[in-house]
Amino acid sequence: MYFNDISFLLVEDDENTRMLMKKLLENLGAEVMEAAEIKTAKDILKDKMPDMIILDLNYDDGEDGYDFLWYRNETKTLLSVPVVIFSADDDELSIVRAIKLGATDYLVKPLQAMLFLQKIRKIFLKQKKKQTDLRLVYKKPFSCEVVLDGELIRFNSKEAVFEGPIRIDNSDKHFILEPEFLSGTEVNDIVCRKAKLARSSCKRGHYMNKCTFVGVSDSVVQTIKKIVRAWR
Amino acid sequence: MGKKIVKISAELSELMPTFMKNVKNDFKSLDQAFEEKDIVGAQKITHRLKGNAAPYGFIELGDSAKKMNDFLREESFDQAKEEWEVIKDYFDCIEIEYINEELK
Repeated sequence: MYFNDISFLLVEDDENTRMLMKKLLENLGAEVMEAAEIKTAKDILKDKMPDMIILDLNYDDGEDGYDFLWYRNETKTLLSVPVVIFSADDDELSIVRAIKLGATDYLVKPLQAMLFLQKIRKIFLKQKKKQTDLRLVYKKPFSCEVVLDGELIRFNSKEAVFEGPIRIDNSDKHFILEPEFLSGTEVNDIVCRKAKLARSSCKRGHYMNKCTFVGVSDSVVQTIKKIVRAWR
Repeated sequence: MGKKIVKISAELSELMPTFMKNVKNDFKSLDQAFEEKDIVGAQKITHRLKGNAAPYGFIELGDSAKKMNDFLREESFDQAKEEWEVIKDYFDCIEIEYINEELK
């Protein structure tokens, strides 16, 4: 088991638990960032996006883990980062509440080193597989039209790739590129069979992680990347 | 009460000074909370100890913190205090022995 090149943000106010998790993950090659409170976590996330967030629910002062989950739901760039709750609260109400607010999984303290690492690894691989499944949807080149800053751009089927967040709209028929100012960016040429595969990996109306679009010209890729960078 | 040996993985030796410092601070705060009948304060500390003591090898402390936390939630303050006196005495007598064992 290893975590090479995988980055974590540990949001945990208890120093003892935080330093133990850090040691365990770093021993296996992970890069670990730490926050003792929600506010610090938000500040870190403005500069750096981890591969996974491990979040405690209870804090002595300020916002709690549920507040963070609300914040995550309102912050598009964060929605693609899995958040695993790690809490001593083992009651059904806490677990259901956290999962309903979008937590990827819920682990109960106390920390058992081997079990903790195995579960984190498993959750990470599951999330990665979901993203891989989504990428498969776009393997074949397709063409579509995008309205970008009022200008109609036709995507051709050249071998260029654009990576950006996507959302499945409520009709289930359209994949919409985000950010919002790319509205009108509807990709219509995805056949139902492929759309079905994507739907099984994410919920309707939810934003997904980076997705590879094949068939976008280099110049369009550069333009969109520039806008997405500014948006992030 | 004689010395109680607590066997702890040598991998944790570098973290132990900070851990012990934090636990001592928690003990001090818990003492105060029980003295002032501050149930909320005591709940917070026992909740924390419930989560962090066992992973470092202090199983008894973790179990006891869970018991205290449950008592406090049920508002059985006296029972929680009784438990606190027992674990406090126990903790005064512990001696750490590092062993070459992987963290479980």
